[in-house]
Amino acid sequence: MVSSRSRTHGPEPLPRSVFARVYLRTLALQASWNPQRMQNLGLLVSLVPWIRRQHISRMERRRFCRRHYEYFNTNPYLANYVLGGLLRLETENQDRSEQACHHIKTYKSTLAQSFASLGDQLFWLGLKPTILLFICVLAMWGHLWWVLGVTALFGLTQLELRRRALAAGYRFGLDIVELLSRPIWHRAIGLAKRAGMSLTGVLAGCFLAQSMTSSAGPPSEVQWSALALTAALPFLTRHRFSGAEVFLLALPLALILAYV
Amino acid sequence: MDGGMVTVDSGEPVLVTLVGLVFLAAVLSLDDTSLAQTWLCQPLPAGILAGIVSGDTGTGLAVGLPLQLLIVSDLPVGHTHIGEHVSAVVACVGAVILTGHRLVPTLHGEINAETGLLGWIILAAVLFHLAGRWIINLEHKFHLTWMLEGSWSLRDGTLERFEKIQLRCLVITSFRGMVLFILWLTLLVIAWIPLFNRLPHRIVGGLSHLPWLVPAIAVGVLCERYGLRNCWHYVFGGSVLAYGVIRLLG
Repeated sequence: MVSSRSRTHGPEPLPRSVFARVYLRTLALQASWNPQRMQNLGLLVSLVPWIRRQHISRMERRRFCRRHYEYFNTNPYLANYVLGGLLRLETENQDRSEQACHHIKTYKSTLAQSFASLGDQLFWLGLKPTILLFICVLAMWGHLWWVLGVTALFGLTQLELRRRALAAGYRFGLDIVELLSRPIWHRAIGLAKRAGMSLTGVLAGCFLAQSMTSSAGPPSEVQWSALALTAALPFLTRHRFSGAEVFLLALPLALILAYV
Repeated sequence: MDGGMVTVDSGEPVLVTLVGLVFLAAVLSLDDTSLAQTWLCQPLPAGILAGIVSGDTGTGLAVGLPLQLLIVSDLPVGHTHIGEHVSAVVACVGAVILTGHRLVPTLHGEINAETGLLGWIILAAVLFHLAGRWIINLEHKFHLTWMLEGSWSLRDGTLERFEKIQLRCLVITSFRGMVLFILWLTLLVIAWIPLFNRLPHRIVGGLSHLPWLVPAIAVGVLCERYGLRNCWHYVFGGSVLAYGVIRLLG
């Protein structure tokens, strides 16, 4: 059985060339994203270097492709935990029994959902606004190279995280569930969100300080009112608009200001 | 350019700059939706990179910063895209510099033609960004068709077909970045920037207020996303701290 083997024996390490090829392909996991099965093609293409190394029949290869050509969607930054785990289970699933294949499918769908939720909270709701607000504040003070440096640092860090996630997924196999249950994830999400909220305030403070000391002089009462109204626009509209859409809503307000 | 606009003479040959910008649009489009996703494709870094390629980082910052603030709260959960900002930012920076203008990065409410042009360019970037959403959706429909084509490999076990489809998707994404960049650049150079000269003085004054309203929009949208009840004390604390430190340091 897959489960007992993965828990009692350490995995045979993946050949370095296979690991490197799988890793590079996982970076393009979203390249063929489609509205029906989402990242399925990206997942399968990522696993191709591994399946090529296996001496299996054509029928087995077809079954492998069918197994991984089904719906798959997770957060791209944490996807490698799932992929690493899948490689481990497939490596251990040498007897290709129906039960083991079913087990792999369940593992894939359950873990993908969990990492999707975790990754969306951590990266999209937590880290993304925080890091982008941070570089915006840096840019407001003219530190252009710092902007590029911080962004590049994030890029390199997430690439390293993905590499480690692939290795960890393979190492842990089924035990990845224990990794998921660690409280550090929720602490990191909370911390990232709080940092984002505080940086929203820092942005507001920097903007107000710059407005008060600008060569145009401090804004008039009418301009302050317009500013407050603009900030309140996302709350006044019942529909959740994006910032770009709110900008278009604020356009008439800016034109009215020209006549005041 | 009339209206007191600042102009620059670019020493770089236009063709070299154009090729560089096309390449940048292609690479950053890949980074945005398909490959690696390092966030160098976000409007602010993309604007600065486009500025470096075009020889004026100030204009890159002037275009990139407001658009970054406007889309900072856009969450691509489930690969949903509100818009396509890469080609919009690169084209706006490129068009401004290639037509011999320069934008001064400002989020103040100074009413002059310079800030008016900045507001006009930000408006174009926002419209292009929103229009790009439909192109991305169209691209995803092509992906779906090709993915279904890949089902043939489930019958014959050919792995190369999957790889070819994946490669095709990557090529199409970079091609989309290039085509949209050229389209937006042409539109800006032929119609949008020349139209600015014909705008009434009052409208230019109104456009001058747009960059000033951007931070307020960003703060409002972010507070709405986080939930005002959850975030107000962090936002208030952060703003008091930042304002106090800046005033203290002069």
